[in-house]
Amino acid sequence: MQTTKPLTIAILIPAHNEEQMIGACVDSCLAQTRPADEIIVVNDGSTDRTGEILATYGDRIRVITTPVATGNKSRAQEIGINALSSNVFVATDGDTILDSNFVLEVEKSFLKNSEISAFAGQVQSTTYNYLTAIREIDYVIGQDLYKKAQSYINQVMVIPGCSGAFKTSLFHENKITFDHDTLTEDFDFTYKLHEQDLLICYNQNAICYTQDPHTLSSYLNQMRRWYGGGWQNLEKHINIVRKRPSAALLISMGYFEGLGFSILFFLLPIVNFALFLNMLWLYLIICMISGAYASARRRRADLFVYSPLMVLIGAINAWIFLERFVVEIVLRKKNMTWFHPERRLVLK
Amino acid sequence: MNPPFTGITLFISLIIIVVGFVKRQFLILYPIAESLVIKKKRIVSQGIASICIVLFSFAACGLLYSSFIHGAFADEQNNYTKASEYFTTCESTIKRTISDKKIILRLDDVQAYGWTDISIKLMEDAVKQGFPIVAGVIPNNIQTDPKLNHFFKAQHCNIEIAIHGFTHEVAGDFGDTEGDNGETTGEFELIGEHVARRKLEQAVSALALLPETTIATFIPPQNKISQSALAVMPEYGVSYVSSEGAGPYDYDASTWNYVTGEFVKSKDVIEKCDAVFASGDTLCVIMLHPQDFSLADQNLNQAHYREYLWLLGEIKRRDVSVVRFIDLPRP
Repeated sequence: MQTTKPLTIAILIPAHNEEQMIGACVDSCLAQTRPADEIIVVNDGSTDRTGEILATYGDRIRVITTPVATGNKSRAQEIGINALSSNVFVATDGDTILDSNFVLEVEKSFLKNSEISAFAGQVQSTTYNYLTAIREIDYVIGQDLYKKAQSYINQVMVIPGCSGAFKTSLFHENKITFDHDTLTEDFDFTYKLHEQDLLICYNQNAICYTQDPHTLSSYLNQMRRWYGGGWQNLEKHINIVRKRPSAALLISMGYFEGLGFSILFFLLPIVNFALFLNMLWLYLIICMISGAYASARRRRADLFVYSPLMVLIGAINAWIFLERFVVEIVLRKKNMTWFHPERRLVLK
Repeated sequence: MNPPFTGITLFISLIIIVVGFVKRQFLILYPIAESLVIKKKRIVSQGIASICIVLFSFAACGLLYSSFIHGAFADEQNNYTKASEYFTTCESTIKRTISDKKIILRLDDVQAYGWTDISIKLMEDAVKQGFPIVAGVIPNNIQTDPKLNHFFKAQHCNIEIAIHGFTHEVAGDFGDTEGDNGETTGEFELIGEHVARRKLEQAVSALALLPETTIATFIPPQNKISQSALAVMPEYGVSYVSSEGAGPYDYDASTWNYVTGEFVKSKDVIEKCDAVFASGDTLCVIMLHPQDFSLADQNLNQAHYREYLWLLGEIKRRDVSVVRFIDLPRP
């Protein structure tokens, strides 16, 4: 089905102190098999060499520079969206590398079904260490199983911040507004789309490669932001659970079970250590099966090698999930501290 | 990012993928089918459906995880039991009565996962009355029953553990009923020294896993023992063999009549002991089995249990000492 207007696609990149990766990111945007109609980078008050690097691309990209950092990715995104002229834009990050067919896949999806309002692509984690390997296993399972199932019932739970595409009109016509009141703007957008019964498609052929935290401290910070943002958005958009049975199913199952598992994980060793050890073995086997699947899927042996460590990371995740539940929902202490992860140079 | 370990969600996701895939294949094969779908008014509103789903999710997750927690508490291996086992020391409740007349309460067939609760109850009741008791334990796999182990740990100073065979299996019974003459053969009845040694070694090793165990007594299964087996007993520290007959430690009274297959009332048991004492003997061994106090479903037979309590009360009223074999002078 053809759209009435010719489809024009932009790429929007908010960037704050991204000197390590911004060059590789822009290069990947310029190397698309279906070239983007415009590339906008919002240099969000960077104090490093980001602006200098961006200047080397001349008029091949458009750079919007804010004099001081806005302090939040969504604020920089908002500035960029206001400057867009294309009718669809790809939202990505300054540390992300787009696969050369990413824009082409976006175009295919939007041309195939004019009712699509937003698009979620596949995220892959760049290889670095055990933490990024475990995150990659999580991505494989999350995308191959959960996200695919979500797309079957039009309930994609989140359009990744580094791998999404939206109709620009959603923002220009104020169907989606920036509220800046949660830690995970991608979650917020996705909930808003579902509230308006707008169609989101998931296309696993559109791939981007992102940097995930490679130190434990940055991993903890990111998980706090993600789970904190998850609870904030659930509270903000709780009505969606009443409106949409598919949302009710996925959200309630995910959050109830997440809580149940997290409580069990920490209560069990206190009550019955022998049983806890037995359950830990079972959990280890599940982790290793997941690792084996991810390893075969990505053809990366390191995913299987590191998979036993998922037990430890699972414990950390369970703790943070509970901690954020207590802080955000029980104590109602909303945390809006943004976290900017450390970057490293990666060439995919 | 998914919440931690969404196992049920994973299962539901797989179902959605399979159903969705099949539906898509059907529509590819028969594209006209989609246009034939009649849009009917929904039977229930989206809101009601959503609430039902949320309640279902809550119930499913709640049941699954609360059953785990309940299981963790109920399990005998729970930390509280382990800690209490560690810190519990056995306090002797034995009340010594100076009397020439002695009674031994011999509870046979104490075994892993067989009438465990009844066995413990019978032993506990005796201990509560200040009586020590002899537990004839079937050693095979005894260490696998946490309830019994916990009980023996807590009460080892009031209980004497005696070897009651190794498996208590009836020798020569291979499940072939043809030619069966109806008579059973005790595990130690017909064996020679070699087999007796092997079985005793296994029995002693298994009982050594129980806390604070000193072996001095052997109770042959079916109360029958061969001369060869009898001869090797001292090698394994056995000083007392209590079977049936006229031996010094053989049982004198029982709560079960094996001829009539009926429970023996406590009054009759006491009368038998009285007869023993009247004949000039100073020791009466009363043989008990947990089965005697059990219903077919292994629940407690309340009527028989009342008889047992009456028996304990009657012993207490009499001028007798309740002892264990190890309290007797070594033969």
